Amino acid sequence: MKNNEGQIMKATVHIMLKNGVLDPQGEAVRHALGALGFDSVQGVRQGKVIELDLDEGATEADVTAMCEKLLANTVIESYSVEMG
Amino acid sequence: MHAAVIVFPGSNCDRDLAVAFEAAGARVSMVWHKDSSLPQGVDIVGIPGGFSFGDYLRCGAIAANSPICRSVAAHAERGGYALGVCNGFQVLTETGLLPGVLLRNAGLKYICQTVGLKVETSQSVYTEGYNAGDVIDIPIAHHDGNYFADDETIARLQGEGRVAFSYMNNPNGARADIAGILSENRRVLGMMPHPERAADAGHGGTDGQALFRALAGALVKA
Repeated sequence: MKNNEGQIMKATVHIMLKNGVLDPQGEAVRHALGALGFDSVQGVRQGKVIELDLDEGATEADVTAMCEKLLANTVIESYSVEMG
Repeated sequence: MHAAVIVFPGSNCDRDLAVAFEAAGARVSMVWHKDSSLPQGVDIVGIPGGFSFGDYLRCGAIAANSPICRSVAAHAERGGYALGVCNGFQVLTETGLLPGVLLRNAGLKYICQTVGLKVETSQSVYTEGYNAGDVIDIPIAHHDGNYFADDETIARLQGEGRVAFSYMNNPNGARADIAGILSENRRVLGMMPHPERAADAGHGGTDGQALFRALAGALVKA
């Protein structure tokens, strides 16, 4: 989607650890929430969000290539791309 | 033996690794990450410990995509030798030269201590100075040393005798207690413990010396 000037596109990449990969940071956050009395928390998984400003004309395929090459490590992480 | 030690912004074991190579008789060239090629005639590339690029994004991820790493990959693909220690191991997994990945330590703490390592194989230029089954004391110093790979990869590494070192008392949650692994052609070794920090009597331990000496001996003959 273009902004008002029609120059810049936004893409948002969500990166999460795959199921079955231990997430010690998520686990620590879960413990901390429990310690604060938030008893309803059964599990926490922590991921990353990366926002990209792109030239007009960049495609979802371009962002997917960026994920595969650098932004995500697909051995342990899954990603999703949102354009606009 | 001509060794090249790669220097990234944030490397902090580059000189230690160079000293260990030199003590074993190697000529060492320090190579900056922005260089696009390795010096002529390099036998082995050393990728040192540290916090390349501040561990931004993922440990080793930015370094693995630096100009020099394309040459390191080409060197390894030609059958060249490469040793990655600590952050260097993380860089080697990020380049895909070694399988798996190093996750945050299971206990979430940075661990700096000397640990017992079992030598799992003497079948490599790195480990032929030891006997399989030897237990050696080598320091670790890392926050992200928790080796992870899928079941199939772990089984393949074990089946092909590519686990070089395993922890006697797993400090970080690494699958199958793995501390170091070899590539399929056994010429690339990645390990979290620091043999270069146990390579001189002044270090308080010399169990890492045999690795550098065996390497120098093998590569002089080569």
